[in-house]
Amino acid sequence: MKIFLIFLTFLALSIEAKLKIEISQGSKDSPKIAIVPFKSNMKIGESISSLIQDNLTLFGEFRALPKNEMLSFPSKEENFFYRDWNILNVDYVVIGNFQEENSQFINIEYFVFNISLNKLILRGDVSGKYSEKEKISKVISNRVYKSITGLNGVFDTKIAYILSPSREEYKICISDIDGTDEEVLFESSAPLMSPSWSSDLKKLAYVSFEKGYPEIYMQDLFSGERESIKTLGLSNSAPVWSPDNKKLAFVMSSSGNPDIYIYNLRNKKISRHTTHYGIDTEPAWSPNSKKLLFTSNRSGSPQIYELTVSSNRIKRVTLDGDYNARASYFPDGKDIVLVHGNNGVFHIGTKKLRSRFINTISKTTLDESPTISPNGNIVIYATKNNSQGYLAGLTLDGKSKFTLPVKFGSVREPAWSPYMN
Amino acid sequence: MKTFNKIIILSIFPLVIGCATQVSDLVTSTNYSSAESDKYESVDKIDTNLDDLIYFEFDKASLSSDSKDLISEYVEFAKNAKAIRLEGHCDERGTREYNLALGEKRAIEVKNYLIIKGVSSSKIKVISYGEEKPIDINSNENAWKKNRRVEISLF
Amino acid sequence: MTNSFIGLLNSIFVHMLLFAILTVDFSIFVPQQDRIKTIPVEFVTFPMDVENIPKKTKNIKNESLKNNFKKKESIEGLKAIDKKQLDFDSKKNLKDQIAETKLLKQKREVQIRIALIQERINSIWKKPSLINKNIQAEFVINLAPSGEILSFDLISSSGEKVFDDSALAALSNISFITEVIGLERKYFERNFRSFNLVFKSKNQ
Repeated sequence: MKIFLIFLTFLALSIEAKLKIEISQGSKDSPKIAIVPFKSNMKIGESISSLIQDNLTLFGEFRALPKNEMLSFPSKEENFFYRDWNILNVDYVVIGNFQEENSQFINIEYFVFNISLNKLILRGDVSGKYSEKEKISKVISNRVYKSITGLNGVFDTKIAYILSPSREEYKICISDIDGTDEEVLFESSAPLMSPSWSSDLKKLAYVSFEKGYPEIYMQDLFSGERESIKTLGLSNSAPVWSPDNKKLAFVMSSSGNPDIYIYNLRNKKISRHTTHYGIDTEPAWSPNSKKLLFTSNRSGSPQIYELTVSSNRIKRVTLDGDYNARASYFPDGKDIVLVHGNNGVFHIGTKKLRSRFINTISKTTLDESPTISPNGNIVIYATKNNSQGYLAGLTLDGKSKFTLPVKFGSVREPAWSPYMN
Repeated sequence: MKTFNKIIILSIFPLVIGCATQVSDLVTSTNYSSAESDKYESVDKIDTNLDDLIYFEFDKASLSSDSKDLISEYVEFAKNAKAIRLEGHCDERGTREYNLALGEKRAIEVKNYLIIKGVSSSKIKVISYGEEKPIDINSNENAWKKNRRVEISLF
Repeated sequence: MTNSFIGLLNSIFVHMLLFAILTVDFSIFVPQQDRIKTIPVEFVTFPMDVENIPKKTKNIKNESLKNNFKKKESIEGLKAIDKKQLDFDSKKNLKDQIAETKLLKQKREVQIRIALIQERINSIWKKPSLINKNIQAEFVINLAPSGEILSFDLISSSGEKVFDDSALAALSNISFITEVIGLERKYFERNFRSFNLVFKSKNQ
């Protein structure tokens, strides 16, 4: 993959034959960004710009220029000079100032410059309560990110995960994507599994063993109210909310035969979608809510299959490797991420639905539960170090790898929330 | 010739599945309460002096001949017991939901063997914890071997 | 009672059978099209003088190997070989060989410069990660023999502003393509005076 391609097209020896050089790899470095402390009469100026810097560098997509290397500290367009940043090899600069600031209310004006192009690429302003500076920083970070990358920022999204401080303690937690503001949604002495967000961000579905067998609960994030799917006491697992928020795919097992079912959230009806006597589990919805990926061992080893919900037509997706499981779609619906095992080693892999090749992207050996950022640019997954579970992530361009803040206890099964609106 | 082969495959394969499904349904259809919460406390547990763990290969739910011998030793106790609880487990490798299903397959495999030996299916409760409750939390072959198991308890 | 039970089982069985026929995935039995792995072939060709290109484009190595083999054959007496023909072949070969070696040397010179240019632009270009979009932007670059970039122009946009901008930014950061310095003038004029640069989001 890494071999850079040399393609020169030879246009049939004609006089116009022109050399064509192709560039496809790009730099191994992430772009360098300078966030100049926002001009303010109060302390908040610096704290907002440093929050923005933390956001933009969170996943390693940007490198920040340290404050002490800056040659000037502009806060307005008229006192900004490109040459000050050109010599520092900076790619982008963010500056800002407070139009209004008091202990109640703040209004910030900010600018983003593309240094290589000598161009102002974004001018914006945002206002809000003084106490909500984190939220305001996230709004600015998202807008800056979009102006540079063309992709929606994910700095205001959340992550759900299972935290197990000890063997008899299980918690479902939700935190901001940077690991701050952790909230415990539910606690139990019996195992908890498989958190899944509703696309309207109002509910979380998960599996709880509190009654002695796996059962699916849908919990309202605001009222805390819990509702379970009534399935005659059969064990059920792996709930996944459809992107259109109308259905919940899950796995129900009667007499040791787990199959994929869909629970219609409107009319509360359950339909069965696989019938094979082998294991069928780990459903994942396509972005258009029409197809499901799932794991089945019907061929003898776990492999990924794609099911068209309306017709129950099943197509095998993975062919290589002795263990392919827990796949999910990228937002484009054309690529998938999965757990790829070979000879007892488990990595996170990506694959085009329509090609055979699986591209492994993680390096540790017990990697599982990949979850994709809503903009499709980052994958977070669970892995282990000395039996301690923690969350790691990477950007799909391969430039950055990171780990999420360590928690007290084993962390697993991350689930990235959809976009906040 | 090729198409003929295909036809044969096409016609035989569903037959095999049909049979398999029919048999497993026959064996276990009498009991749908398998996952019901167990009402038996550990104080009621019958001590059989037998090894209560059946081990499995990675990503497999089939019983070895040693395992079958061990389960056979349980049969007499099981026939007299009020209830039998089979708890399926997996090692940490592979994905969690898949392992939950695999643990259940393992427990069902033991259950079916007991039924073949004449134990009434109605008193057998089956549950899987997947990889959520390991005996040994280490990440090595030795620990994994211990964790791929079905725990048998008689009440 | 038993009969109806068997009847019920039978009907279950028949249904299962029908269902299995309809739903079972036979893809594992049928050879799939995408099992054929396509390996991208990398090749290098570039404009050269027509007269410089030998009419007989043979692989020199293969040819001489073949000759060796022929000789061996005659020594072993397996087959009589027309000696005159052999001499004629090797004379012609020598001529080809000289022409081709010269050409190869020049080819290699240009090739090295191209690789160097690619390497440098790759190292400067901050490629935006536009996931799974297969797009490209094409520029025309005009150079002076000193390597100075006289001008560059976007001749075919990728359709993504962020992507075009990233390529523009990379080009803005270079004022000289020093990699062409020292190249024989003829080859500079033919290859690098004006050339196209294609920025691709994927290397396929």
